[in-house]
Amino acid sequence: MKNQSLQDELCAQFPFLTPRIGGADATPAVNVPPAKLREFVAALRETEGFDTLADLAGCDWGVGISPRFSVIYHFQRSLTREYLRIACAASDDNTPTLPSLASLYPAANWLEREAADLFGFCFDGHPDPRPLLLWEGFQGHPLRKDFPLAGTDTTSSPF
Amino acid sequence: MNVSATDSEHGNGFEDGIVVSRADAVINWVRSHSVWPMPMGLSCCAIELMGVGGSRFDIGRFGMEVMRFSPRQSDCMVVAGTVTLKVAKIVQRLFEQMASPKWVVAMGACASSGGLFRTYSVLQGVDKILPVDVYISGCPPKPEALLDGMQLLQEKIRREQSFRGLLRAR
Repeated sequence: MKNQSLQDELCAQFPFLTPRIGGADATPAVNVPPAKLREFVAALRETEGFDTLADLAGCDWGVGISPRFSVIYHFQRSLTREYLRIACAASDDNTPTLPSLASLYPAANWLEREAADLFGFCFDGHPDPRPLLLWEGFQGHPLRKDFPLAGTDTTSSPF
Repeated sequence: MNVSATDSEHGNGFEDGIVVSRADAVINWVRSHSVWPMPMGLSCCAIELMGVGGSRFDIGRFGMEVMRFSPRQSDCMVVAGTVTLKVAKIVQRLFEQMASPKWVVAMGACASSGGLFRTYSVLQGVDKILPVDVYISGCPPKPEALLDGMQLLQEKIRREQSFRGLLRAR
């Protein structure tokens, strides 16, 4: 009940949000349009007290689906031990671009670099957009649905 | 081992302190019983490798208990685990730093063939970069399997023509 009210409160307070269907645990979850992401997350941090970015996950919903790519952010408010999940769908299906949250939450720095490596996200305003897990010159993005499962030709890799 | 002429009754035995043998037999006898492994522990196989070093399985029975973490002091690289493409170059460099004679044991499915990780990030078998002498199956292999593999390696060492290449790097 308490969780549901948080979701409703946020949706009432920020009209650009849409409620997101949660799982069986009914954790509060909302969709945010990319243009409002930074504004909303800054408000979460400054006025709502969500002090931790627990995780950030990229998602490829499948080839031919639009919007194809989303990033899902997991926030925590340690004072009340509440959890909020927000999803932000990128509008471009080839080079999905979203604003970077690294200046708001330092934890986003490496998580965004990982998502950029594996899904090919482009995070606008990221302070250090080098690859994190893959090496320079790696072709493709391994967690995209159209990446071959067995990998590409690795003989051309520098290793 | 081919130690001949040890019978004291014929006058050329141990009492003179002289044993006649072939150089290959002696060299291989020495080498095969002092294989100092370099534990290239990359994932869970390394746990089994540690188990083999413990008292229950006791790799010391075969003269292999001297695990060296420096490639300069070791004879046999035991590649225990998943070789990712990022670590492959380091594995290769460590092998190059080992002094001859040197051997490689691919321990487990991942080191032998990539195992279940047929993905973008994993080398499909360490034999793509190193000359592997013994492959050990298992995921991970039981300690007995590793000991069996190491005894196979000893067997292989005993058959080498080591004197011919004694002063040559391999």
